[in-house]
Amino acid sequence: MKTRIHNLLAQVATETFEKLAFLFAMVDTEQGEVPPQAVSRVAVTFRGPFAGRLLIKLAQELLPELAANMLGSDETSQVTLEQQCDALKETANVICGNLLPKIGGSQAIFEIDAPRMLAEGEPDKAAEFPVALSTARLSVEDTCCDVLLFVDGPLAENGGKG
Amino acid sequence: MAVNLLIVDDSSVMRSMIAKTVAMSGLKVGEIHQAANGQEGLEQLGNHWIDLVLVDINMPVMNGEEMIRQMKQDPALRDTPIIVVSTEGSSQRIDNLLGQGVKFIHKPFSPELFRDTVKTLIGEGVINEDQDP
Repeated sequence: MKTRIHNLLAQVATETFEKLAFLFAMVDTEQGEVPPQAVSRVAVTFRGPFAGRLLIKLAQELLPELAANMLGSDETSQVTLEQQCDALKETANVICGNLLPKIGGSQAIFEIDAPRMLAEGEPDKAAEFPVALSTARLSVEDTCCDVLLFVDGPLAENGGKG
Repeated sequence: MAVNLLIVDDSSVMRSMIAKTVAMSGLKVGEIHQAANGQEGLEQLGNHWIDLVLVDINMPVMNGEEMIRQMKQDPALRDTPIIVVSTEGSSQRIDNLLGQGVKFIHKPFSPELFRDTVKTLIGEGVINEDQDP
């Protein structure tokens, strides 16, 4: 089950970066700590057959390109910080919205909260979802990106609560 | 005939993406109005002539399902064509929306899908056929 969820997480995340933001993304087999880089973090909380949150840690240097591509702009310098954060939040929203039915099945109904940028110093994991079920390490345009899925307990094979 | 659009999504970047994609799809676009949630969307519908509504589902203040419900209860708005543009994956929710006569486009989307969906919903007369998406 964990391998299946990891593969789904990596597949949905890479497809979203490519289709939504026209950024080349691939699974990075390197493990361990993220190389030293400033990262922006966005989290989406959801509830349904299982609850949890999806977290993206993306290199800050990639944010202007992410937003410019989504806006169809050639000039990254014209993209505001607010647009950069909005682009990352929408990316997280699309990854989460596409991932959950693949895990829980098309009959499952999930309530997905608005994505939220995490403040500096705020921990990756929320108190109610302390353990990352799966982490997909991606290389997005040669920068490192982690996509983490936290859930509130073990999952059964059918995607429900174990 | 140019089509006046209302784009309802809580993400300003997504609203811009949708507007750009619609333009690329070949749709003859008139005015484009925007709203960040269903409540603002209903206000825009009260203030402008809108031919086509593109609306997300998950939004703060008022979500897309409630906005559509209120539109369907209003004789002046119930026949306005609606396309839901969302990441929603629940077949039950999607079937419920389709049952109300709305079309559904899943994010992420392509200009071709927009063009084909608009054609199905409001006819080919609003599409520039010589413009390739």
